[in-house]
Amino acid sequence: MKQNPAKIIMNGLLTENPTFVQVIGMCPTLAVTTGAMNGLGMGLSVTAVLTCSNLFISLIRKFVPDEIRIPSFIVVIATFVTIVQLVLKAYIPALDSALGLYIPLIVVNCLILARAEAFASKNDPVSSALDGIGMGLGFTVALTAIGIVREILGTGAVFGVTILPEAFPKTIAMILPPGAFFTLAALMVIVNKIKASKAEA
Amino acid sequence: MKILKPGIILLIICAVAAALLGAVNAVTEAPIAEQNAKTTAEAMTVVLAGAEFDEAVELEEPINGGQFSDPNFDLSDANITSYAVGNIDGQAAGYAVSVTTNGYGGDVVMMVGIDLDGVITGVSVTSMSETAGLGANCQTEWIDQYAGKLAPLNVTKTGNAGESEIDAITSATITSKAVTRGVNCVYYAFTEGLFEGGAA
Repeated sequence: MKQNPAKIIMNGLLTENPTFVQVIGMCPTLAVTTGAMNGLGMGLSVTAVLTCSNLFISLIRKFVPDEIRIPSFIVVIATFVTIVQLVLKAYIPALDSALGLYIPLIVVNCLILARAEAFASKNDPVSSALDGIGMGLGFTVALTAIGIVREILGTGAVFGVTILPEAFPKTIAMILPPGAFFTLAALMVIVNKIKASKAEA
Repeated sequence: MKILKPGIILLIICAVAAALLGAVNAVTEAPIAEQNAKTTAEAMTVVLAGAEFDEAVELEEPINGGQFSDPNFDLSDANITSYAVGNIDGQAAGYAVSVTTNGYGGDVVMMVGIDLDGVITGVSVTSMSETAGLGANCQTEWIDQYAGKLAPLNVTKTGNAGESEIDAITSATITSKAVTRGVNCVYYAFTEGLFEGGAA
């Protein structure tokens, strides 16, 4: 089946935003968003892996028998994750050391396997790649937003640039683990409110 | 026979994946090694300014800090993995030592410079995964206060550190102590004469 490309992208970005609507892939969401840059870097790494793996899984979907579906998908995903990690290590070492452990963990990010199962294994390669881009960008926007809020409230800076005056009280809890939950909850409320008012209109 | 077909298909997928990874690894291997060497070389120059370094000595058995009795800390998590003799004007001037301790979020890897009098000439944290905005500040100018100090050092929260004291990073005492343990471990290893070459 052919689907409208713009609709597929919007689906991931907003309608079915992986973080705020589907609430999947929470482990990296909560753990790496101590700063805006980390959120953006993690989001873009996931987008790269998700787009490649969706495209590839869609290409091999008729060739792979049902019984070995999951192991095949995991091999494909793990391969792309390792490629991303090697490339980051070689060319952007600063981002690699910031994301550290979380890059290998992209393999088990349920967002990627969920999209492989729910979308890429049932749709044509172009739509699947678009779904990967849309979902990945939705994830990136969510992680960056959480990172920005936590960084401003916790350190008074955004992307490492101080914007709040020195006198503004810094809430250190915001860049510690509890801050991730507070921020996620607050942003979810806002997104759901917007969605609800749209539905009424 | 039903099991044969999926098995072969899985084999093909894995073989393609392995070939792809091999190719990417071949391309990125050299830049990664270069990046690592660059980070290490930069850190060595920072901690022992103006020195030319001999080839680094990689220790097969790391020097563990547990064997030293420190009045302030238990050093059993500190491990020295390599060191290099630094020469200034052709004369051995000190060592750049790579040491790892446990911080708040995992390993803290640092390069410690120490001169032949046992004075710390500088410290640089080369790799860590401490909390951004708190422990991660160990990579800011905070680290500069180690230069010129005589170990063994202790960590204080008063904000005006004495001669053998280090001001802790605000809200990151664990990280501050981890770095200080590494420095103290290097100091003891030096005084015990565990580094070879260069010593007078």
